[in-house]
Amino acid sequence: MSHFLESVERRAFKQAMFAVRDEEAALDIVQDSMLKLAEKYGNHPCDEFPMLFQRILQNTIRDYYRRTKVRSMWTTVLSALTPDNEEDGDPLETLETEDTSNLASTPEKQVLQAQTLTAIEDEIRKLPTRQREAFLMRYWEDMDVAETAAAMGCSEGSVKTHCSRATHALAAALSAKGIKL
Amino acid sequence: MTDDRFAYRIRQTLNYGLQDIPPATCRRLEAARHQALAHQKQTVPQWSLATAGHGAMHFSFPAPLKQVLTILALLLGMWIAFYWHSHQYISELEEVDSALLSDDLPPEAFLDQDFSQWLEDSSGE
Repeated sequence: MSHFLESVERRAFKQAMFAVRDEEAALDIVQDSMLKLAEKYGNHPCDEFPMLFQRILQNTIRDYYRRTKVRSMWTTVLSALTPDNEEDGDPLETLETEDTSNLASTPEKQVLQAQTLTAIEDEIRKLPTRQREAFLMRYWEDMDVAETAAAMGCSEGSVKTHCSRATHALAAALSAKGIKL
Repeated sequence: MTDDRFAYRIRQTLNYGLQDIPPATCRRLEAARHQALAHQKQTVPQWSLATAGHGAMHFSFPAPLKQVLTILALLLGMWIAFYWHSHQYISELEEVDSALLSDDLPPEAFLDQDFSQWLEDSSGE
């Protein structure tokens, strides 16, 4: 359990940040999620932790949305963000990158890497909620289709559809900004 | 570029971004982790069968089966107690019987009312 939480806590924080865009709220969400996992499922087999934790995390994010909807109209607008086709909102500076997959080894590459990261995170935030969840679970958390479907409470076909749409949306958005991965 | 290849590049970049999380945030995440671990639900003790120096074999039973096994164990205990008690009672009777049969007096003498009356009168004198 300790090893699992340690390996997942930073990614979970980033996921929460993508969803709620508030550091304090994201930290609270991760803390609540870890606590719920430990209290309710601490005696489960380790291989069930990723699916259970993602399910708890997504539910905790939704609970946060519900609470803030009641509290503030301003947050309601943010929580209801479901852009249909997120084409260029505010184009960041166009980047010409030759090989961004390698770890940045020079200051210039580090700057490019940071700019690419900013653009990617920005586009991931803009994804529809379900697409973002499916994409991050499949490709960042390294969960298989069945695990992702179980965590999201939907069919495996839906997961594949969400992932495919998210991937194409990200590719199109990044390409429009001149970013090549 | 295939979807998987593209997703892999995205993943690499996102992982790179994890290094940028401020130390204060990392410390709070670590504290949250420790808090969660302090409240971790522990595994219920299970039936275990020790093996010859090679750890233990663990068996876990579903809840309904555990209840049935508990009731069966209780019934078995009650049957053993009843059997042991009956055995003791029969043994005592056997001892009395063998004492009667090995005595000089015939057993019929103890059923004779006059003999009993004679014994009481003799002890009174």
